[in-house]
Amino acid sequence: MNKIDFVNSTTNIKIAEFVSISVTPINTSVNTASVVTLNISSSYRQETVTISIATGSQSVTFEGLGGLLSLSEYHRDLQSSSNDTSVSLDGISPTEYNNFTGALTGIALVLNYNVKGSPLTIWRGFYDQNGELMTYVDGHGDTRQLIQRFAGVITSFTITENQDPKNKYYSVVLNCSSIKTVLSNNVSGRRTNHDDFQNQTVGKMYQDGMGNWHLGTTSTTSTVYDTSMDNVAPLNNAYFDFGLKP
Amino acid sequence: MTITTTALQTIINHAETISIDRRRSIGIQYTKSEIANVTEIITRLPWQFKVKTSAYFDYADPATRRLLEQLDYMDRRYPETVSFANNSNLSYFFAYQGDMTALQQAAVTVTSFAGTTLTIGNVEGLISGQYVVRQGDFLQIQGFPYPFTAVSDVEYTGASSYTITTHRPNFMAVSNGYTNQHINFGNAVQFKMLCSNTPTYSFVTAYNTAAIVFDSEFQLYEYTGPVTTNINEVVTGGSGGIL
Repeated sequence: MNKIDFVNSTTNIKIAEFVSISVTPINTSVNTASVVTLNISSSYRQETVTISIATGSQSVTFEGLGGLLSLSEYHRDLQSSSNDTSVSLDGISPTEYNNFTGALTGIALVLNYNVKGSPLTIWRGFYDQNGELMTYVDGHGDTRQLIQRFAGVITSFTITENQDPKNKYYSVVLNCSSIKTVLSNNVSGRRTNHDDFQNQTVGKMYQDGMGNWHLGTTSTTSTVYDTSMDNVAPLNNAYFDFGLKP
Repeated sequence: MTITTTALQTIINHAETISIDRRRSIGIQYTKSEIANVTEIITRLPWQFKVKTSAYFDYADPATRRLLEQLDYMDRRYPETVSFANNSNLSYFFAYQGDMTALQQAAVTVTSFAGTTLTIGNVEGLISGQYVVRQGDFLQIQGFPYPFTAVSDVEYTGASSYTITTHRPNFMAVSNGYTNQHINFGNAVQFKMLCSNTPTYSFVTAYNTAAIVFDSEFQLYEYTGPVTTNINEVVTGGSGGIL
């Protein structure tokens, strides 16, 4: 879909934002922990929609938080660009919402789960005059309801609690960076230090049949760690008198 | 222990003015050619009343003591179900404008309710040209605390099933069991309201008693959370269903 047909010929639109966050419990090995996905929206009701994933499509139910979920502004550019945004979850205590729907959010989310670094996706849904989520047919001929607006990771979070007895207020803000920012910060290749040269992935070398050494590993040749940087640390800050007899 | 209260009902029955806020969450942006682009965040559109009561309540009157105690008990914690039908001075409020008799209204049932389209059945006994509901008529599915209004006239045509467009979309799940339920029309609807400010009150001395004056108007806000068996309860945990 090159344009959003829902808003193409109208000056009156009804919208809701849909957010999906995948987190793992704290104190659990990342490799073994089961990923928990939190699907929430600013809709007035629970919505079950079909979203696109890498392997096809998936039916997902979003809990409607209404005004308790809000998003900051984020830019939309014609070209792929790096922008940040934030997701605010207001007025939800740790226990109330857990008991409510079985989902997790608010303070419980950020205290009990590895939130920083977790992937987050934001979609926008459009409603018709009857309050029903509108659908469209994507380029693959599949029926979809949501338009993706943002994909990134959570870089930090902020908890705000106002314990004034007459005006209690809880707010959790998740600050997110675009996936493009994350990718541009990725380190490619290896740095010229001892640790990187001993790294199991990038620091290993193998010898080919001609006796030449190459970076990486193969299953058929013996491998060794690159020793090129082994003397860097001992030589660091050492003094040399180049006029002295050895 | 849950106490059944009638405090907000008493306040409404003694209302001097009632203002109603049904405004939606809307943003308007004007283009360079001054075309208004309207964006609406679709919500449950809770009913909001502001009620200003008459000036004085006699503290020596046990009814006033009961009122104060119930208000202090409820505070901003619990909602109360209020009606505009139990006070003859307010019976014109939200009165049904259609042509069905009470008996005919009692027979009507819900067939389906998707978005803002409420389909009702068992509409019988009217004459063609009479109205099932008129624009602005109030409707409430029995057993559920959410009043809706009809946004347009629905004329009787001889059929037994009709669709009514409501002012806000349905946020109840079918599993909540509204299908085949009967409907309250007009001022038979009830509002489950929280008082979001619960005013403090002052004693003004009078001979052998004191007059009670509330320090501000009452701001009532409709509870649109999950339904429980206790219509006065606010769900804060457990299997409440939809939020």
